[in-house]
Amino acid sequence: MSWPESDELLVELARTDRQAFGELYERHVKRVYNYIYYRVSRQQDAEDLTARTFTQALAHLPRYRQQGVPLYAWLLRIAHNLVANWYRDNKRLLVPLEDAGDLGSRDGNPETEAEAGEERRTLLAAVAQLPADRQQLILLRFSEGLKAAEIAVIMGRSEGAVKALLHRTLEGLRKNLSERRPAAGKARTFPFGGR
Amino acid sequence: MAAEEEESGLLNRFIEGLLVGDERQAWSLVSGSAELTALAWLARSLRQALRPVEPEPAFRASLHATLVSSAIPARREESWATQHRTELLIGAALGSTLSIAGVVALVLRRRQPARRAA
Repeated sequence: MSWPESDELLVELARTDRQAFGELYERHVKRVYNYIYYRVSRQQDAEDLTARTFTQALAHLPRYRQQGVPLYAWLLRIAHNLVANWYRDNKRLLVPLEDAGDLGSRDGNPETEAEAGEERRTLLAAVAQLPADRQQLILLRFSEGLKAAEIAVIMGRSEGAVKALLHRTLEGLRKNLSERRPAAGKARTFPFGGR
Repeated sequence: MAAEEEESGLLNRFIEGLLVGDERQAWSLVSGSAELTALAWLARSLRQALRPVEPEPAFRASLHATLVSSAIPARREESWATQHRTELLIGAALGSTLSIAGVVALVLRRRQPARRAA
């Protein structure tokens, strides 16, 4: 079956047709899983929360029309709230990113790989120290690849405010990293890697 | 303030270029400022460190099957009352206000003949 390209039309179909909801799921599951994975860092928890996100989306689909936001933004809002509840219920600290899976360099050179892995861990540890909204911003921008305007919809801010917040967040991160690695900061002009 | 906005805008355009794979063009945007260049390097490192992660195919297929099966009941369309909640609230508020106004008017009207008689 061929489905409409527009999410809006597909949502209308999905209200009565489960296969249409399955198509919506296929379109957005990667993005939702990726966001959750980087927030909770463990595959099992990411899978559990992804399932809960889509189950909740299915249950609340009639409300979607009233939100007036793109579907992916609505789904990421649900995911964001579920992750926040998960942290609250499990009394966890917001420091998961540094434990995220090892996705470092794979160029075959053990030394380069080790260095890249260490840099990545340091960077993710610094990101993990950020307040939740800034972690969310970093993930949406760099991992999800969303534009500032799209993030603005999800975070309920203006596009300009998102750009300014990202700028300030990067400045803060850079400062944090140079404090963590003063020797590296002196040796290089920039905190991470070469061009 | 304006300079800060301009820097944020340039940084945003750099990241946009990074995300679409047009790095050469992107670097030219920030090359005029050492501070922006440093932030651009950091942005690049973040992009590399936060590469998208995909769900396991088995999990993905299993969740798909669960969602399209009848195991999870979809919530029915909300009732008329829920859909028109705002209108109902406004109507109820107007109704209450009119009732109160009516009672007040009645009390005032009854008091007036009493005063005249006094």
